[in-house]
Amino acid sequence: MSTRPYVVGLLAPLLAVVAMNQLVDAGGIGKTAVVARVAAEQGPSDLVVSPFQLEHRAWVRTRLLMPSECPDVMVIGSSTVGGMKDGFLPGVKLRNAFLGGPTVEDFEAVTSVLRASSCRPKALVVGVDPWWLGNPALDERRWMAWVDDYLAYHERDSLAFRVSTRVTIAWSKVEERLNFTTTRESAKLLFGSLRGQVTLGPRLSHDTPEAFCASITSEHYVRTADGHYVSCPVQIPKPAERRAIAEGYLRGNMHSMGEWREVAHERLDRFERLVRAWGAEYGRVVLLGMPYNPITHTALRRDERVNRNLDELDARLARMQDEHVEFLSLRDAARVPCAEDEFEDSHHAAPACVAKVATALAERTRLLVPAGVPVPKASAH
Amino acid sequence: MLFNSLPFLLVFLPIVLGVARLARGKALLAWICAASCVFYAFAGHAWFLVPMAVTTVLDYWVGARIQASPAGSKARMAFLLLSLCGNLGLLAYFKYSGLLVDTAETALHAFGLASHSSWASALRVVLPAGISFYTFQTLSYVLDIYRGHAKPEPSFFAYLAFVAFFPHLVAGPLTRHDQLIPQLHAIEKKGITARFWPGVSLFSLGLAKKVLIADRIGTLVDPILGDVHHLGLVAGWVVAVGYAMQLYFDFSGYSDMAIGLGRLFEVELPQNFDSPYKARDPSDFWRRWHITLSQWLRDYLYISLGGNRASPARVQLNLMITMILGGLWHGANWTFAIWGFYHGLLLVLHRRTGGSWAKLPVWTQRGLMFVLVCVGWVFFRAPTLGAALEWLSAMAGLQGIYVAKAFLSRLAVFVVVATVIAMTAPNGYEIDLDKMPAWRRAALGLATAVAVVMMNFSSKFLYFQF
Repeated sequence: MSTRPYVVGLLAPLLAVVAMNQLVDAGGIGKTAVVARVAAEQGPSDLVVSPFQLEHRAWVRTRLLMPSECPDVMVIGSSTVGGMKDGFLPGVKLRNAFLGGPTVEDFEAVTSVLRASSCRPKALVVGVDPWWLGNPALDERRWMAWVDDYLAYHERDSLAFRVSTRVTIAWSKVEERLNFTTTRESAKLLFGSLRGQVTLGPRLSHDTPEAFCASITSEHYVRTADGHYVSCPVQIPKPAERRAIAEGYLRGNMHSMGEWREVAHERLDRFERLVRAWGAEYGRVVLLGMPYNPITHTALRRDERVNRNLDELDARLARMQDEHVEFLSLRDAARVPCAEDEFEDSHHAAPACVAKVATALAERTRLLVPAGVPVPKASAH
Repeated sequence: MLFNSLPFLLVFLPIVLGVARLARGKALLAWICAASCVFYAFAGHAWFLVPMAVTTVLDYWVGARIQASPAGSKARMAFLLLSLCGNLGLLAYFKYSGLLVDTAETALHAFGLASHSSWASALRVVLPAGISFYTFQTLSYVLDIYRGHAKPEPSFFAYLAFVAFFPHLVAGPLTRHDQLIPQLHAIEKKGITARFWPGVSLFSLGLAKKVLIADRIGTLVDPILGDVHHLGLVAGWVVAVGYAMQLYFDFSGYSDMAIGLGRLFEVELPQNFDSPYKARDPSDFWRRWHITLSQWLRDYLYISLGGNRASPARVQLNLMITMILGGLWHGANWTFAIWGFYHGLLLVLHRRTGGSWAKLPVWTQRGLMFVLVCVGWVFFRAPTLGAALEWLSAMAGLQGIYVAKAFLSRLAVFVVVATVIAMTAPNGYEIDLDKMPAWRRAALGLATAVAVVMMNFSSKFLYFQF
């Protein structure tokens, strides 16, 4: 009996899926060269725009290696700190090197890139979100986009570690090419591209942010030359939707927070090693807990397990404080203060709130005090 | 490691099957044992291997000691008791200690006494995957030797392969030693000639049932049941039937995959499901649902209690005990005991009124039986007795007729399709896989391809709320 119809029925669609996902590359993990080229060409008033995923790591890497872009204060973290822009902190040059979906591995790669450059920022502001830092249930793998930098950080580790990392990455890419969500997004992008509605891949725009936002009808990632992101009105949820997102954050298991059973101590140990290194190399490090939407924060604090884990995480971050390192927790938006309508969703502060956070940074930490002037030993702010 | 995962399908299975096809004799059994241990270590924690090793070695040794002891001697009984205490002790520690602790704490709390959280937390342990299955399998081996129905297996590798054979290790089918060990010896002698198509087709069918039906329904049922306080009549029933379908397609799908995998190794594992929602009465249901467990409970518990050879009252008591313990086997929660009690009650009532029931039209019997089974699943699924009662009150219309719920209409569509399939379509054993027309084979391949992509659902590289 022939099994050929079965084999054809099985393999033909799988090969088509793999080919489409490879071609479209919805996650942008294969577009690092294009992003790097665009980032290198980006002038002070240009925007890098992308209809879907912008591979932030390639952008950050390219910009960090440009001597003209070396800042006084560098912001790293996730998109929660992505709205921090040059001019928010008085008298200093700020560059925002936020990443989409960062993990500790990403910060090891950032460190490696910084060491390879001639740039020595005077201070680092590090957004410390609970999910990527403390929640072991969250398994993000976008750091694999700059594996060479990650492995450069681990240059003293064994050959077996390096080989196993490469094998893990190769396997992750296989899984990604056979992934349902990726396939769905690839198909959307491909059909949009065929209909002329979407231009695949990132590009430069010489428009102002306002003009660019006025020209689009679908979601785009927009990154300015100083590194901050711009949310266009088309992608900001309406107030009712925003409230629903904020209320559903925990219930909907966003960032796997509904599965946060214990604090990821191994991850925190790795992070603490980085913090110590940054403190020694740059003089000032501020670990910043960005505010949640008050609705979301209330829901998180009402959950016994999440509440306990948040406290444990912040206590650990507070213990990292020394003469170089400070921790400012603004997770409760009332401490900024920011109101519910100053958020774009459950955990992204709108520009007005981010500006207040910057003010709090300047006023409540010694971020802007020159290195060499020791920070008094203090508890979490 | 799950059958419905890419590491299993693209790495583990091709390597294990490829090497097994080349191996012969003890090397083949050793390879199957080693591969099964690797599979099991990736099923959760590597330490899961420890209790399995204890059970395996203990019962292998006890089986030999029972055989060596004179018939009727106290030594035979002592060895049997050792096995029972060892196996059931391990099972009790890993599976039921948490339940006992919680119950004790609740009781102490009710009397205003403080609980001792230090020993309580020590008794709350991670449950090793499959411990309920392999414990029952090795117990049946010892019990059969004790009863004189079987002789000890001389080859430890064959015995270990029987316990650990990865297709049935984690979720059954519960396979008896006399079903599996002779087949293992057969492949040991002549090597494996894979029954490729019967194996692959049944595996594919199971994968499609699990990923395309059960998992999809599960993603819709779970959020609705997150708020069991406000369901209403419509949502209460849609979710109850939805869960009935999720459970059936999930468990029977996994069993189909296990049996299909067995065929690839030229081993036929026992059938575990036979279209249970086509059952006409409670006895019929238990001949079709989780067949291997029903048979185990009948042979080693119900018959040991006296079975049918007793007064009607005693038979009914035997049935109730068997079903309550069978219910608890499924999980460490009193809701499972209530579910078992409920099914025991259905069996008892059916025994007493079977004649009248049988006079009903066939489709009426099936429909009523399905409704009764769905009511039982409420206890099986609900996390607490209180939640179960709230859900049942919704199904009785006490929370109103219709309460709007997200995903309810989508779930209703899935439920209708799944119910039609479960109640009318032939199951994997009724389909003549060898005579399947080419277009159906191509369609099965396509369904498998879709399932392979959908089982790998969430991307770790894309971000939507960056």
